Amino acid sequence: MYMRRFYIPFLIFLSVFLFNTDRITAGNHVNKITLDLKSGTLKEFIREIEQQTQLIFIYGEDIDPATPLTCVTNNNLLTDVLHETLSPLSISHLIRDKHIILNRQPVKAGEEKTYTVSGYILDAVSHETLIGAHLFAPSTNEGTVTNEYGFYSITLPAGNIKLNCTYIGFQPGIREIELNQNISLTIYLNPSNELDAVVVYGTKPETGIKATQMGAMDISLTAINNTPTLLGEADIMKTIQMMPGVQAGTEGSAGIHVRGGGPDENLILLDGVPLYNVEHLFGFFSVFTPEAIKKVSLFKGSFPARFGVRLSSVIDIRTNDGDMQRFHGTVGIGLLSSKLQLEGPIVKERTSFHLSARRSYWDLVARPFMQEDDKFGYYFYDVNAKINHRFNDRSRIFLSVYNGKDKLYSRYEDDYQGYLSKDEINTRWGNFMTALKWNYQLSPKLFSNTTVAYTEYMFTAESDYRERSLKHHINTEYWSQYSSGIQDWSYRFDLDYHPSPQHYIKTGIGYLYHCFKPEVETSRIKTEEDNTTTEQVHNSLTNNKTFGHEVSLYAEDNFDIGTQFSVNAGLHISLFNVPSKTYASLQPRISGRYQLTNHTALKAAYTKMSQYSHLLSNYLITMPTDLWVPTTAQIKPMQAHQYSIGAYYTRLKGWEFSAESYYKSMHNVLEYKDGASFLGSSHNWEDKVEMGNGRAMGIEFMAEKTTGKTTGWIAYTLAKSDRKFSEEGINNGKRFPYKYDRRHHINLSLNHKFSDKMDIGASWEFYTGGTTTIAEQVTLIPYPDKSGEPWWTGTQQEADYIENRNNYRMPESHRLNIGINFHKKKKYGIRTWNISVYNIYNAMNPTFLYRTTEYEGSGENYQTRTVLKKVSILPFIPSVSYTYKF
Amino acid sequence: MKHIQPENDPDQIINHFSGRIRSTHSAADAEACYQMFREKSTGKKTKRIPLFRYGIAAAIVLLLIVSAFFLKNAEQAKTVTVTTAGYTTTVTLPDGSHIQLGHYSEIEYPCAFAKATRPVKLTGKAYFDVTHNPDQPFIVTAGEVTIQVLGTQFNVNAYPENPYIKTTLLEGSVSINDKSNGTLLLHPNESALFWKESNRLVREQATDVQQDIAWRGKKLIFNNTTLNSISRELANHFNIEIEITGPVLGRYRFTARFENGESPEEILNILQAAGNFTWAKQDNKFILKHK
Repeated sequence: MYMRRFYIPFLIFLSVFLFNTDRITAGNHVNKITLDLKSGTLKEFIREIEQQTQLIFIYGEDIDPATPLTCVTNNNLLTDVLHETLSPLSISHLIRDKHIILNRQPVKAGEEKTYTVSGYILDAVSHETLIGAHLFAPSTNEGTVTNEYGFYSITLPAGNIKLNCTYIGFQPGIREIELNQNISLTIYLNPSNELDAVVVYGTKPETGIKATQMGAMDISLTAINNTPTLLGEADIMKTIQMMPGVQAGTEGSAGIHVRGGGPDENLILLDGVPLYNVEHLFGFFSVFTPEAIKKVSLFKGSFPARFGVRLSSVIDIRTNDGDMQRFHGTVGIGLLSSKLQLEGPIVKERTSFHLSARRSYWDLVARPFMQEDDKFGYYFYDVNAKINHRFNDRSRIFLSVYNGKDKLYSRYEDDYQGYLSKDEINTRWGNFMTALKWNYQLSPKLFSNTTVAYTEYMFTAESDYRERSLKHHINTEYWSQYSSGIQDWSYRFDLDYHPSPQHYIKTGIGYLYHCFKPEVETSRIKTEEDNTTTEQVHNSLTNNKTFGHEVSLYAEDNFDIGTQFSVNAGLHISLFNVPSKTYASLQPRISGRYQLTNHTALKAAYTKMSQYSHLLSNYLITMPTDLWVPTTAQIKPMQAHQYSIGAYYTRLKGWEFSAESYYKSMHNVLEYKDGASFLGSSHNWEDKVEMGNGRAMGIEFMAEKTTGKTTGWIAYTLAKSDRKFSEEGINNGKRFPYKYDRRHHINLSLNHKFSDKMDIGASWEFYTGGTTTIAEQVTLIPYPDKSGEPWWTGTQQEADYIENRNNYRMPESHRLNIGINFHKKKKYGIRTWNISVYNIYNAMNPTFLYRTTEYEGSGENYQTRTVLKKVSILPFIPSVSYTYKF
Repeated sequence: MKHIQPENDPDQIINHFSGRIRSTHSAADAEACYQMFREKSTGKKTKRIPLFRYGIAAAIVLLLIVSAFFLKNAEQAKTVTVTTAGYTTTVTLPDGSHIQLGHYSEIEYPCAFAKATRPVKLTGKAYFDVTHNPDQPFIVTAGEVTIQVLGTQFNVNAYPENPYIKTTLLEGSVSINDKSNGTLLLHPNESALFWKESNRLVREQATDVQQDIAWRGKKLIFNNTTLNSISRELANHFNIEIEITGPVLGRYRFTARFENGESPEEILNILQAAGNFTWAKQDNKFILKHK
């Protein structure tokens, strides 16, 4: 106490003294600074100034001492040096006594000006839009990606903006712009010859390792064109079959089964419009001409909310729009088919077209060798045509048509003693699709697309038999036609909204009008005799169409939470109405991605899908006669819940490693009842099938090399899929393996480019067998006597006894295909010879198995033996094809 | 024995003299302690400012009164307790070790290190420069932690209000011991943090030693330090109460140095200008709010 009293006056004295010294130092702000700091940091700058002035810098975490700066000054005023150095970094300074206080330039939250850059990313040569190209602004660390029409939109703070633009197979593009208003900017990228190790920036792609979505991948056109296939026909579906989790149903078939699902559970979209049957020649080839295709994406894990109506997968195929600059094309001649592709501008930069057509020609080759009056043949053709017109930067219209048919025909003419007869049978099946799309940019942040489309799949068998008797003047005509199919009219309106770089919102509404025509049978008998004509027309019992209305609504947002976590959350709502019943379905879709380190990411997803139509089929391979039928009051929509998790690693340059695991539970899946078969008639089909549950689970590993001279992937899938029906139902309620339950599946695909003149592709596949039902025992069934004769006691007949469905596991299959391309530059273009060999080591893979009895010996040694026989249909098949690109 | 050199720093003298030395109990020991103190305080005289003499005289008078009081009442004086307020002081121990005691801190030690060890008890903050003696380990007890050394320089921050007890080693080696975690051996430029709540003893490598001992030069150094830590430091340093409202503000980091004896008000004003908070004083309590 005493002490305090004593030193208080003393303290006052002292503080006056100290205050004075402070003043003196404060006056030193006229300090002159000499500094030579080239490409230094703010930290170094602070240290230098503190040494030269005795002033102390004070700042909060908003100021990063590692900020690079340059300051070269000679004997200049401190205040000037501070102003000149710090204001370009948006840092303000305040000198208060002995301290220099630094602050971020005062920009208040709502006042920070942002503007939107929007437009298209195009191939610099053809001006074709690039789908899924990345755009990245390093200054804000934000990015975006172009949509399926090549459109992007990104909102950034005002100022000088640098945009990096990347797309695989193209040289990266950099644009620097002064952003002080909303800008419409078209970015052109130059194609690169090599698959360079392009640093792909950006966020929010829909497919690939960087995507928030899981189990979503792009199938590159290089992979499609270089994967050697049957008869050298590059085939999208067969390349997709090389992906983990996807398998061909039957050896050689183009049909696909994804993650334990059925062949009808894949939504195959051509320019956003579904195709119902994508196979030619009983499934050995798919309907897509690779020359017409721009981009192929496969979704098998989590599905963007805009997709619905199928359980297992979505294959989104986008076609070329047509070169806006130059007219060119391709001619290809193969063993099976020949093709022609043409594209070019109609009005430069405004209107362009793309046309591709192919036809198989075994029938044309064979025709000269057939008799004049007895002809038969088979062919298929595909035509893709597209025309588009750009009204301006904001508005563009597309009209696309696809027509593909298979035709099997026979014609027989006979002239027998004045009786002329002519017998013609024509069987035709295939798809017709047409779509009109209109892109309209409502605002720089809001992009809309309106689609009106029609798609049909029809199967028609027609038989016409005419008989004419020259003597008796009698003309008779027997005509009958069987047809089945499905027709869809659809309308869709989709919106893409980019409110800020953190969000990418997609929403839309769709309406589909289905017309199911399961079987229409008509026959007519017409007789003309002495100018009197009698005509009888018969229609079949099942000659009734079913109409279905489907309304769907969806919304999804792909958003970032912090820098490491991104989420895609969406909801798909659909309503399906058939005359007797309306079903509604709420399908949540959610997937999340967590960037663990720079090169490691984790993903998890949950997705629910519903399906309202079923394919009735009773053959090993999907057949043109398979029928699409709608859900009815009795048969409920199929549903699937899929849970998946995955880990991704990209440390090794050019490589991508992934492991994904899934569990899928399926409900209301259909199987034929024991003993029932559909065999071409859908009559009372509801009574022949049973609804049950299924599950599928598995883990898929994939290592893919995406850049360099050697590209390709190796994939391993461990999977299990089974079905379970009610106690009284199929297999007595016991769980049984699914027909395509294959435990192990290995895919190896390799492409190597030796030079511009030669490249080689190889694909090897190994999978363990699926299951089949084979009777293990024979039972005797007594047939009681019905004849009424006393001496007849009835009969006994042997019948197969089957205890469990899918009780036999088929042997494993493996196959190596190799293809070599030789390219040469010619006067007007590039010609390519392709030599490919299917099943090079002639592995005898089982297409199906059957049980039969063999007889051995003779006389007393005569024995019967029951054996299983394996049928292999695709041995070693070499082929050659020629392509000329001009 | 270290002498105060008044011409160096008048402030230090004031701090030194105002250190209340309570010598307790034994008459003989008290005598010795008094002698020690007298020597300390009269060893050198300040010539410039006569006020000092009065101060010193007053202090001596005061001390005599206090000592006499204790001499009368005390029976056994075994330990010396030195307590500081808003200043630092240096204490020299019987073995020649120096302890610089931080603001509002207290140290307790025996008048003579007669036993096998040299025990010292610390509350608050102190810098130790321990004379090397391998036969007689120097043991600091600071809260739940005991620090054992042979001879070295280290800093201990053990304010009761802190969530941790921090020992920072500059030279030599020390071993830190708490009852539940066992022993931790520190190397120079490392520190040991004992977290009171979780009862964990953690080694921190590459400690900012200068920041930890800045107080010795009456400086406050904050290097990318959270406002929570800063306010704790200020509260201990100035013996004031600071409250931060909201959970976010306390995590905001500052880089700052205060080397000129700024008052808490001045410091808060400067930080306020550099940061995102405002402050107000209510009932002797500083309240920091998000801007």
